[in-house]
Amino acid sequence: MSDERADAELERAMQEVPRGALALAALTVGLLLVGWFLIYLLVFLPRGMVS
Amino acid sequence: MPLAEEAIVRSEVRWAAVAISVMSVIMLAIIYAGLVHHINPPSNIETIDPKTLHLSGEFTEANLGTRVAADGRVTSRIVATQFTFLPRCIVVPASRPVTLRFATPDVIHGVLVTGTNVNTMIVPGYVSQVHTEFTRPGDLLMPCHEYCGLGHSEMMATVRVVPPERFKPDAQGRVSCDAR
Repeated sequence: MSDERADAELERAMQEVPRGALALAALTVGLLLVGWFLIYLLVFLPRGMVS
Repeated sequence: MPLAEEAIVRSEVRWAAVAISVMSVIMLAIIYAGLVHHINPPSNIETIDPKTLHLSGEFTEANLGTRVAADGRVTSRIVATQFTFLPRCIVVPASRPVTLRFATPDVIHGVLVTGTNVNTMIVPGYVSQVHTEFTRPGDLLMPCHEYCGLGHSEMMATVRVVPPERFKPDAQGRVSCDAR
């Protein structure tokens, strides 16, 4: 396979954005954020003032 | 720039925007807790000589425990030492501002009071101070949370939170667990 043809195939393959990976990353970060806010709202704030 | 590289850069920029948004939201939540709910990391820079801690001044044995000042301020003084707290039990009123002051003559310790936001390090040479308000009556566990030696796991104290009407200082303004 010539370099030119290989580059063209690589270019074509790279244009396909890995949507599944992005969805998984978004879901993971979203769940972490939801967990953080649940602890913030249900545990941290009700425990009250400290300084 | 080739098309593929453009697509990659675009998705990375979008992802960076998501990450920055998440961090901004969390920072805003922390600033809100600090400004509106007064939940801040305890910060107090006050030095004390660990060698003479028990001999004179604020942390002598007679001065430890909870005391109510003439102006009504409630302060508890506690010495953290390998491997106990002195005193091992303090009484504080619920729904009233309380100041906890800690010092140590030996190594680094740390305390937290379970079910509250009280959490600080106790470093030799410094007085650690925490202002708080306990919301519910009950006995709360206050363990040492910084490994301080072989007896670390036995090092714990009790914070007895009593309803305001049952918080009765004696003539010197002192309140202790034994008195109840």
